[in-house]
Amino acid sequence: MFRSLVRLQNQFGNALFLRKVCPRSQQSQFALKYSTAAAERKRFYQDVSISQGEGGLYEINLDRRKLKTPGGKLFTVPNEALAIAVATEWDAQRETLKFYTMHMTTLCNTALDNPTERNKDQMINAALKFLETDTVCYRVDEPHGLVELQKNEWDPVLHWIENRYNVTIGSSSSILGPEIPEATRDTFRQHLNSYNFWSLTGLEYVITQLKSVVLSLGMIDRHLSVEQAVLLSRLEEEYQIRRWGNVEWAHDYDMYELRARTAAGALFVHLSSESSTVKRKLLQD
Amino acid sequence: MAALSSPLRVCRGILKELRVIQGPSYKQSLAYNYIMDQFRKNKVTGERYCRAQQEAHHASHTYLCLLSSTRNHLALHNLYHGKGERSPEEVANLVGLRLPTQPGEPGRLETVSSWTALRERLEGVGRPHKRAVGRERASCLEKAQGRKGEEKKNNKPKERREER
Repeated sequence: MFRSLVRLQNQFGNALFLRKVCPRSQQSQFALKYSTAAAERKRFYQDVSISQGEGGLYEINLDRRKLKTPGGKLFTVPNEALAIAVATEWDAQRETLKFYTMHMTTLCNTALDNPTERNKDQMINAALKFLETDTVCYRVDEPHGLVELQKNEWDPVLHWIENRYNVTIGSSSSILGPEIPEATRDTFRQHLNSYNFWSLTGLEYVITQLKSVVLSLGMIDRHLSVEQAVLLSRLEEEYQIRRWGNVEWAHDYDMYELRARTAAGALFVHLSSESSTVKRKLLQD
Repeated sequence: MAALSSPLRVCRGILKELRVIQGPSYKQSLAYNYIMDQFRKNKVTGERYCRAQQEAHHASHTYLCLLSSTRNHLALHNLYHGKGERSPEEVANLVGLRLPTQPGEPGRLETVSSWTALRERLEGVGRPHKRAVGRERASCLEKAQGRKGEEKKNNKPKERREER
């Protein structure tokens, strides 16, 4: 028995030896960057800059080294504005790296790595699932002030989206929620299909944060601003805050976090789905 | 519903945020150049309702919201949730005991002369009081941002007395 143990040990010993001899590639260094949750990563770079690589894709450079995603891939973004936003996030880190403040970076990493291996259809289905339990459609019967508030604030958004997309979404106060007709679902499915994969990642993120398809589309279509969308999403909480008082370390904390995430998602969608060209117009006299 | 503040205000707001992030040399940063470029490009338009201008305005507003809310979120996090655990010494001090310095020595009991002394010792540990119902939203955040090296003790006794 001891001989077999010794043989096993030798095998493992050799494997360890081989691993040490193998040169530590930059890939493993950067995989470590995101992995350890316990130890805080210090800021190990001075400058952040962007550069354009092959295919017109932009890359981020921390000092001399290129940024990589947690999955090990090279971090590339399709346009300059997104690259600058990510670079600003990395530049904003002071002594320690706080990844929970780097929302754009997280979104780009998700879009690049696709860790859960989803394709467009799965994402569209997941997004449309929120339609059945949309925040804006669920009304209460009880505190009269809240009923009024919901009617005044949420109804205009519902009307707007019904007009814009030519669909019917009712609101209901029953526990099951409104009945969404199939035609509505198809319209939205077609609309969501028109976004590319990156934009869809961002859009699904926003829908998950706001818990509402209606509000997300309202914000992406520039009908609502980020603050308005967040306010409408948290309408009941705001009502209770006005009634019972505000607790800064919970309410404000949540509100700012929601605002930051939603703003990052919205910006991500806009930057991923737009492309701009400059056309010079000649003055005609 | 869709009324946003004027582009000038949004631009100033973004520049303020960049200044907070980058420090005095914010004018050399990438973001500054890009933002100023975009604002200048979209300033003049020949159309009455220029969609690109509206889109750029909305995008700038969104970016301002992103920068300011991450900053506020971080400030609140550091203020209320960033303390981590108390050390064993602090825990012992909370109930009036002192840790033994020699192995095998029993812990000593600290005598508390009055409620004020006990309160000061608790405040000395430096945790802000979490039951802050009705406190104004702006006040704590401003204090947190102006804090930067100020002693927390200077703020705490005042607030406690106000609650009483």
